Amino acid sequence: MLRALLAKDFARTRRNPLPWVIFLLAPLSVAGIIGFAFGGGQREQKLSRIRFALVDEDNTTITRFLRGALNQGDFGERRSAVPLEPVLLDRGPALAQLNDNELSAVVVIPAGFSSDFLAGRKVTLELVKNPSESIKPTVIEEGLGVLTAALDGVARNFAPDLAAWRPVLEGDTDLEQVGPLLTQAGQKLRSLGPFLNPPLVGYTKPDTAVAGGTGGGFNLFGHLLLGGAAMFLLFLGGLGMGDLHREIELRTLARYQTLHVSLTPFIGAKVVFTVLMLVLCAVIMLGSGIAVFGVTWHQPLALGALVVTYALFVAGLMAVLVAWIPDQRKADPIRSMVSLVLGMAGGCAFPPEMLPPFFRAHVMPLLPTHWFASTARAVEYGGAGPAAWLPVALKLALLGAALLALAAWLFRRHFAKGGRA
Amino acid sequence: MTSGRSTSPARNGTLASMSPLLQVDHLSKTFGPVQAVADVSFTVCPGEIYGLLGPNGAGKTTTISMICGLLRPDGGTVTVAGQPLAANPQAAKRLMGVVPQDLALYEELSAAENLEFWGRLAGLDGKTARARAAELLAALTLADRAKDAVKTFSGGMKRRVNLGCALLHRPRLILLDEPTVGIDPQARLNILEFIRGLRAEGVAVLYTTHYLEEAESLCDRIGIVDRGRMHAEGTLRELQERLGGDRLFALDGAWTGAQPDTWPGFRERYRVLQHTDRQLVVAALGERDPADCLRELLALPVRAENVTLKRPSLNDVFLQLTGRDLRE
Repeated sequence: MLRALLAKDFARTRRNPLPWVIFLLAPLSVAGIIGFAFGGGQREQKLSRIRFALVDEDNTTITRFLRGALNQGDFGERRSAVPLEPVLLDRGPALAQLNDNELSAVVVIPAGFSSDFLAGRKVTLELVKNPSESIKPTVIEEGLGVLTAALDGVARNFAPDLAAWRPVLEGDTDLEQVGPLLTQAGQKLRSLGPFLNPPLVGYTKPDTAVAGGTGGGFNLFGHLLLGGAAMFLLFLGGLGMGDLHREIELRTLARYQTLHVSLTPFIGAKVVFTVLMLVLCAVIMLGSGIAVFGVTWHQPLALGALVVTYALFVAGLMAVLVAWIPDQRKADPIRSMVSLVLGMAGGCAFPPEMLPPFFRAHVMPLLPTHWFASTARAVEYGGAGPAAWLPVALKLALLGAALLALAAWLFRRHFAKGGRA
Repeated sequence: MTSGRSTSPARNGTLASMSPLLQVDHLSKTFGPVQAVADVSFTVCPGEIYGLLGPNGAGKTTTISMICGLLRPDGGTVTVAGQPLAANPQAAKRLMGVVPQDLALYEELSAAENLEFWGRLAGLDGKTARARAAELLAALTLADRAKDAVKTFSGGMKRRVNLGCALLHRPRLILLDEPTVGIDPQARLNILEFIRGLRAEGVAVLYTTHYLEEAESLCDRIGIVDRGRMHAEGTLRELQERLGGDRLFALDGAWTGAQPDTWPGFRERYRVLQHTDRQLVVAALGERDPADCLRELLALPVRAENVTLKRPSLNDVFLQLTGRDLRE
């Protein structure tokens, strides 16, 4: 009987695939649009160049050194991997260009920065982000965070020496005094060596990589596609389990109830159908990522396990919604809202870092969408191994099973009370 | 007005001797403040078409829903082939085929696929379901459209597929809930003919309708229901006799403001069935000579322009029992 029920649902879907196709194309379109907007068109995962202005209102040896570092030496070489394009401007023109969307951010070194820094006083760099952009200003902000951390480290570790360095840096000293200062600084740097090497700058996660994963380089399309898939699998799951509403509307569920068989195979078949369709859709979505955007999925087994268990969770969630709200007109908007909120709040649609810290700390960890998206991303781009994804897959599977049990109980209660299909 | 099961003395002798396949006793169902079905009883025997005749909202569908187990009755019992439905619903359902009033079909699937699917669910194996579906589609004159999607069918064709879906497993009892609603006369005739064929095969048929003509032409016995109550049941002849056989008169004239019951001697000899501005329909009481009746009616205080002697229709019976016209 299960075979007949599944064959019927697959045949109906084959004859009317449009609703599925729409939700299937959505994550690909979203990944494409956002990815291309940020330069993901290049096969190597790079962001397009991030143009920002550096406004030096201090104009001292230190700030000139900082400005120069952006264009020369090691940092200059790194620019091939970190696509920064700094321009030196005054505040007025910089803000004007920001308003014209020609810059992603403006970093201002305020007057008195160097003297305050050398005097051990608290100093602040000013960052003005372009409000019409999201990812690029965030990259600048992260970079600034690294820079200030480094300056903070220098200030804390070299505090007693900074006063002596001040006249040197201001060009107002005898060169004979520089020798001992350099020797002193060299000795401190040697002792700090183990902490400074390798440099702290970077986004890789050496700990998880060591755990045995095979994560590859970051790919913007892949990153977006995983989030999009997590969100749109919810909508697709709603379509699959929501077909029970259609069966109620078509009166076919009522006709089924006039037969001598129990309701369990009918609902069970719908769950199996939904899970199979979700897995198929995930394969198409992620597979299209390979074909269309050149994404490489580095850990297909781990990703597959996460997809299957996530599909089970989605089927369970949607089954509960159908059982809880048998009226399709009421259920449709609620289902869409639940999918949207879970997707957004789970960090599927945009970088989770953009959400408020409290939300990230206390709400996000409770959301299965976040479990799936963050773990899948960690698997693919952080090299997370079984120790990271296996517990999440297990958690998703258990939650899915619990939700299905709840749905079965709600259905049984509904019909036991004389409710009609 | 009667309530509860009435046994017809004039019932067909063959049917009377059979034990009923379906027995409904004092069935009741309430939805909130609305009494949808109140103390309804009747039986249906093998080879019999029993019609439940009543307007929309009379309680016909609720009655069928309780018989097929979709709704739980508040009171009363349903017995199928001697076994109470409540005791073993699955066994009872095996004997039933239910044709719902609303089309319960998968429009994306073909007619054959729909039939085969319901056949599989009814317990047939794939091969048997396919063969039986082909057989039914031929009987329903749909063989040439078997592979077409149901969504491309006319209303009448969909109704026939809807009917066929309930018959795959050769049920002994068929519940048909207004199976001809909204279709053209030709398609209706086709379906009615098919149902007569089922009766000839010995199938017990419970048929609900609000079409008088269908009940008159198709049903062996008819139960008249309105507002959840069974008002009368019997063969067409038995029901007509309740109105005094053939002595029913339609009087055309200007009856606005007329009060027939106040006319001397009228109330003792006639019962008013229908009173409109232009027509008065009355039934003669007792054994009366139609010629005498005609003379009396032409001499009424308000002059009748035309008097017609008519045979009571089911609508007249319904009108007399419920006080309203079934066609309203």
